Amino acid sequence: MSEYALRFFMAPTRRISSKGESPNAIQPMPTIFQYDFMIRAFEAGLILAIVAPTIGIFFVVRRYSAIADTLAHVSLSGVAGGLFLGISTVWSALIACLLAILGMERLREQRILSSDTVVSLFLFGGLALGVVLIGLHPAGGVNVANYLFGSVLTVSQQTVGQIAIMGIAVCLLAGILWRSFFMISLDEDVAAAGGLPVRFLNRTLAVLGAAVIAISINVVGVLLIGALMVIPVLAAEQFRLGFRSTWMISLGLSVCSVVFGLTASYYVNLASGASIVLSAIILFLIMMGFNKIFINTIANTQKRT
Amino acid sequence: MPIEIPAIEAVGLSYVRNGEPLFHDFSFTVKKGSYTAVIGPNGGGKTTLLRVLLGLLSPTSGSVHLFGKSNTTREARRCVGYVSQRGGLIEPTFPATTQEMVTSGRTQRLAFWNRLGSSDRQIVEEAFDMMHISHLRHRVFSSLSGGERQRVLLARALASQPDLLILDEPVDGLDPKSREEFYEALRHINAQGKTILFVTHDVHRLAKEADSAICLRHELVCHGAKACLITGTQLHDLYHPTKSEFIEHHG
Repeated sequence: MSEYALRFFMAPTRRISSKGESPNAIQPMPTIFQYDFMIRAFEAGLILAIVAPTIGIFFVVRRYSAIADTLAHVSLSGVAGGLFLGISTVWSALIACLLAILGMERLREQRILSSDTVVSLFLFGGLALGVVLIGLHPAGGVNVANYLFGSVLTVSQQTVGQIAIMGIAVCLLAGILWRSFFMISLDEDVAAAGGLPVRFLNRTLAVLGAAVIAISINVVGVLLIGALMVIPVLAAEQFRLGFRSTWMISLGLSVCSVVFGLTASYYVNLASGASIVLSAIILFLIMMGFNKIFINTIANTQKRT
Repeated sequence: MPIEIPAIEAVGLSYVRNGEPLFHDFSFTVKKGSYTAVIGPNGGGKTTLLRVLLGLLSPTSGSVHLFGKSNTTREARRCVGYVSQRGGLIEPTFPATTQEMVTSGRTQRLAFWNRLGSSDRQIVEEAFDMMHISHLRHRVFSSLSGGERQRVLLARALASQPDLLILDEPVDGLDPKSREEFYEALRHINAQGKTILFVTHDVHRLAKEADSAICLRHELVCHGAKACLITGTQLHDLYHPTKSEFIEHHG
């Protein structure tokens, strides 16, 4: 690492330990981690960086990104409900998303409205209802922008705990159902013909998507949640590898996006959620360029030989 | 003498879509270990029949039993391997290697929480060997040719150790060489005692491959051993509707 980079990330200003160490023993400590709010932001962000592409990959390969986006917008209504009732916004957003999943599915089954119409109604309706409810909040002074664009720097230790519990639960369930999710994503007909409970699996996947969205609100905000579920996976797809490899690369890219985004927001004083998503987009563009230059060249060379 | 349970037993099947019957009240059985072709003109209800047999569509009336069990039960469906037409619903850019595709065939045989064991891996390897696609195992599915894809999909179906293989126009869009290779693989699978039911447009292929046939044009035109069918007048009836029937269906 260059001297400039070292100076940028590290500052010899803080004592690490008080157990028998010389008071003069000064250890280098990244300035970014001197503040508890930044540590909490990294904890919440990194949990999300693992969980979002883990579920997002199934939405991307099935071309269901619009549903993730709809649930994200609906979650704002849940946040508003949570503020009204004085309960955790993480749980209230989850409940709102679950109700939306059931509502959308019921409307689709009745076939009164087309799928596109149902998705649009919930997407715009959820966002509008959320903004109105937040405006009516009796205490007032609720900053809608915090929920629309995220405010990871203000998350409490309690929220980080909730995010961790939900993140672990999502990862565990995804691990157990991984093969079945892969099957229904590949071809629902073949999965159903083979006796897999496709409807149950679809609903479970939607619930896991809702959980990811609920824990993402504080990190990247309602308007940008979909991006973290989708963009790292799209970037990883550029390598044209298998499912497992695509997932692992998307995890790496997602973690990098969170680290770069939060670091940039700290040092350059940028909006944290937007910085994370912009980092993801930059990585996507780099991967696309890499794919165009190297992978296509290799493929063409192989064809010629 | 014990009565042998058929691989497929369809009784009084009817399917109505948008008020129009696609097929009406017919029954048939498919013997265990047989190699049966479903033939008929386009729009005659072949694919719909397959979807009803697989339990993907509920018949308007009638019932389907696979190896003596209702096709609505998971137990019955686990015995079935399905190869859809041109890869079915698979997204063209789906990121999966051939290894992942074939291994996914084991999913229907395992409980959610069970991991793949050494016996599962052995079965997957056998499916690779049987279809001669071991050299493709690290290739991404979307990069394969049409013939290679169909072989991979058949290998995936075989990895589920099915007693009954149902294929919907499996060679549609393949070149002649790939078709021959595919049918050769099916013959080999049938020789191992597995029941095969496949949809085809190709009457010559029916004559060469199958030992029985189901001829369908909105109703069961005929059903039985192929020798009876291809020498009779049924094929003419199947593909050459009378003038009044033509007007009824096409206006």
